[in-house]
Formats: sequence, C-alpha cells, structure tokens
Amino acid sequence: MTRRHPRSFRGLHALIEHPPGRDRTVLKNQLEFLGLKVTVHDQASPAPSEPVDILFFDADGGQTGEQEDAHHEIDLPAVALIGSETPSRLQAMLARRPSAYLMKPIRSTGIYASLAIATHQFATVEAMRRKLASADERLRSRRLLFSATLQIMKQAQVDETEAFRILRRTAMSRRETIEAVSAGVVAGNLPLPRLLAG
Amino acid sequence: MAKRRRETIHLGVLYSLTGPYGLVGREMLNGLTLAVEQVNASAEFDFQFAPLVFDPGGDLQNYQEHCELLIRDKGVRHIVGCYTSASRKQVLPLIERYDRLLWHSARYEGFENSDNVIYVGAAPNQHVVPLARYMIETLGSSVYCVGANYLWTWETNRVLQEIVSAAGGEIIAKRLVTLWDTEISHIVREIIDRRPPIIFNTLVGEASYRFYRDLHRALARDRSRSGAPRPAILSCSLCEPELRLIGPRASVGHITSSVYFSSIETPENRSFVRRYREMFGSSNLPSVDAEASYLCGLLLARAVRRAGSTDVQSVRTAVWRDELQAPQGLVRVDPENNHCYLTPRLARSRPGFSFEILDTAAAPVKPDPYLTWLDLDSLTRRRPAREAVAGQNLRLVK
Repeated sequence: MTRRHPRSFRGLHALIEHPPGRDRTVLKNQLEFLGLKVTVHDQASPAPSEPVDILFFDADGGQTGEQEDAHHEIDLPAVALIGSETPSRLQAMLARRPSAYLMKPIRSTGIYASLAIATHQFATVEAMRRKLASADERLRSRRLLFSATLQIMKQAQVDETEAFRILRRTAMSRRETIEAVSAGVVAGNLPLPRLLAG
Repeated sequence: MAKRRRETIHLGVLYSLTGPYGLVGREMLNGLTLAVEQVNASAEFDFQFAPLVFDPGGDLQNYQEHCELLIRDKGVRHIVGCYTSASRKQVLPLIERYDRLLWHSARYEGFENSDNVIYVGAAPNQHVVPLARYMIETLGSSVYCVGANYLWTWETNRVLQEIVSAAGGEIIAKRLVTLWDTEISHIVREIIDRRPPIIFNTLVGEASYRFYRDLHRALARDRSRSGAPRPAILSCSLCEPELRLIGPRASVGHITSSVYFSSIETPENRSFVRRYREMFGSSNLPSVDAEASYLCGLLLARAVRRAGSTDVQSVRTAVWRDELQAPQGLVRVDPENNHCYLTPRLARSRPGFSFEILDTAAAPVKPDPYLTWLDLDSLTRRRPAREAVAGQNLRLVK
C-alpha cells in the first residue's frame, strides 16, 4: 500500500453514531470523499466488529440524567455533533471526552478540520497521559529506591552515594531498572552478598 | 364605507395540528387566527394577512420540507411556528440561510439566540426559575421529578437541581419515560410508596393527563389507609385545555408557572378571552400557547406597519421599538437577544378547568435565555415568610 500524505486521513475507519437524516448523510459523504471508511451506527444496528480510528457521536440524543454518570470514557479520537447548547446536553457530551466538535446542521466545511483537530488533540492528550503515568510510576518507585538505599546503607555500612552505586551496578548487570532492583531489595529477594557480588 | 384595496401579505404557518401534540398546535393556530382576524378587520393596517397553514403532524422531516416549501415556493418572509425545540432546530438552518424571520410562540429551555427568530414564548428565567423559587420558599426542597425523556425534561430538571441543591435540598428521584409512552403505573406506585412532598412533572400529552388521573385515584385509595398529606404537583406547562382532558376532579389543585393564564383580570385579557370564546366556542379558554401565538401575529403586524415593509431587517428593527399592551400585560422584544419581556405568574388549578393566580411578578421580566444573570445566592439566601416575598418581588393577586 502506498504511504499516505501525512495530512490525509485516507483509510481511517470512522464510526458515526447518529440517527439517520441530513446531518448524518452530509457527514458520511464528506468522510468518504476524504477517503475514510465509514460505518454508521444507531440503536437499531449492532456495533461494528472492526477496529475504529475515529468516532463521531450525537451530543443531542441518547442517554439521560440517571445513566449519565455510567458513560464510559472513549479511548479514541471523538468528535461531538452538537445541536442543543443546553448545559445538560453539554455536560453529557463532555463526559464522553470529545477531542473536537461540529455544530449542526453539519456542512461539508469543517469536517476536515475536525478530523485534524480530533486526531491531533487525542494524540497530544494520549502522550500527556503516558508521560503522567510514567511520572506517577517513577514517583511511586522513589519510595522504593529510598527504602532500598537506606537498607543497603545500614547493612553494608556505606554512605548514600555508595549504596546508590551498588544499586545501579546491580541494575546494569541484571539488565533491570533501578526501581525493579530496589523492589527486589525491599522485598528481600536480593540479599546483600548478591548485591555486593554485582 | 369605501374600501381601499389592501395589500395581501402571505404569512407562513408551521404548526402541527395533528400528531402527538396536535392539541397545542390547534391552540396556537387559534391564537394566531384571532390576531389575523383582528388585523384584517382593522382599518389601522393598510395590508391584510393571508396565512398559508402547513401541518407537519409532529414529524421532524416534514418541518424541514414544509419550511423549505414556504420559503422557496411560496416566497414568505415570515413564518409563525414550531413547538418542540427539535422542530425549531430543524427549520432554523433554512430560516437563517434564506434570512427569514421565525416567530416562535412556545416556551422553551433557552440557550439559543438567533437573529432570525423572535422568541415570544417564555425563556427559562421566566418559567422554571420562578417555579423553583416559589417551591423552595413555600413548599420545601425535596423533589421527585417525573418527565418525558427528552431535552425539555433534561434541561428543566438540571435548572431545578441547581436551585434545589443551592437551597440545601435534593432531587430524591428522576423518573423518565419514553416520549409519547403512556405507561406510568410504576411511577404512580413508587410515589404512593415513597410519598414525596413535591413532584415536578415534565410529562407530555396523554402520559401527563394519565399521570394526574392515576395518581389522584391512587392517592384517594391510599389516603383512607394512611391519611398522609397529598404531594404537590408542579409544572411549567399545564394549561387550561389540558385540565379538561385530565378530568374535573383530578385536574384540581396543581401548581403551574406560566406568563399567561386565562383568569388574568385585565381589560385586555377579558376582551381577548371574550373574542377567543366567540370564535372558538364558549366552553374554551385560551392557553398560554394561544396567547403567545396571538402576540406573534400582532407583533408582526405592528412591526410591518411601522417598517412600511415586510423586509426582514426592517421588521426586526421595528419590532424592537414596539411595546404591546398584551392580555398578559406589557410585552416588548429585547433587542439584545430577540426574546420578550414577559410577566411570570404562579397559579393553582381550580374546579371548572381554570387557574387561580397566586403570584404575579411586579413588572415584566427581562429575558435571560442563557441564565447568565441567575444568582443562586439571591434565590436561597433568605427563606422569608411568604408575605414578605410577595411584598418585595411579587404582587399577591387574589
């Protein structure tokens, strides 16, 4: 398959969750014109089996007050299709974490921009989430690292710099992270003689 | 009297006279017809209206098609119509694209202001906010919500919830049924079990009438056992013609917030009610929707006269300068948002299918469609005695 132009959305699979009508037709036609594969989904039809790259969902219909909180997060780029600007609807729409939106009536103009914004925004947020998760992980392991350092300082009667050096050397020789080695030390899986043996 | 040849202005009318809310559509057409007759019979206007009435039957696709037909084939510049927000959202793109004016008579949930709509029905600060204020000041703040599962319910429940929460109260349940579904027996059973002191009702049509009837019957049966007080049922939409459909006993004692009741004691309203009954039958009382569509016709006629043309921009500018002594009181359009200054009232339904007015706002209230100026603190800071409230904000009309 030829490589697509980076600003082309050709070949992506779009799912439209919206009742039939002019808005859905305009959106579907324009997405197909832009080279996307489009599946439309309403309450009557089953969810598609193929993986979806971008979702367009109706912000006006669907669920209501009582089930609103039960709405699960969307883990793909999503574009909200907004008709009513009432806060109750906007709140339900935001709970689905859209990356972009289009105002109804849907026109061909704006759909391409919504694809660009949604995919970019989703990628940015995803990257931030990954970074946050790894920072969280490192923050949690700081305590392990600190405990392991203290333990080695006490057992080997060395200073902090030397204790850290032992940890690092062990991590390098075992091809593990310092955090993993620290966890082993704290759990008692790596007694001092093995550490000093390197 | 020698008759001058008067210009005929075609007026588009888009009311669902049949279908699930045909009753309201016919009410609105009645009100508009009264205005058209008044204009056509009056020497004060050098034109006459010829309404082109289309009935979308409550079908959204029809709203769009009929609107396009009125604009493109019939060439009308002004359309009076729509009732539900869904129907308005259908025609709005066409109205805006062709730069026409929609004269909208229905109350609605707000959060919209199009240059191409004159909103004559009440905005949320003119119906749901006064009702919520009345409720927390006089009845309590523990509410059971029952309604049809659609935008009007979602949004009015949200506003109510915000006000109730600020007052330290709670929504104890929200029970929604599919729009036009009339199966409500499970809700009636739950109310009998839980006995909420206040019920906020946003059911529509037959489901609502059945709810009032079935709950009335169930309470009567249950009261002999427990002697518990009856819950107060509150609404922003219950109107005179609906009381008749509910029935003589079950329709009594319910609270409604509205800018119009047929029992308003003003010369303008007495004349309006008299003419309405002459035209549509002596047993009929006009509803808030009939008054609003009457105002649509009248405001449009006066604006065309003032502008000397049906040109949309000229008519819009002309209607901004108008001030109409309406059946409900003084009405004028706010140029900021094309909604109307209206006079909120609270009333309780009484025997004979009419309302006893409990409270009337001291002056017409500026429309606030986005609830920008809603101040929750001022609603809940003081919980004074009822008389004090009446003296400060509302005039007690007995």
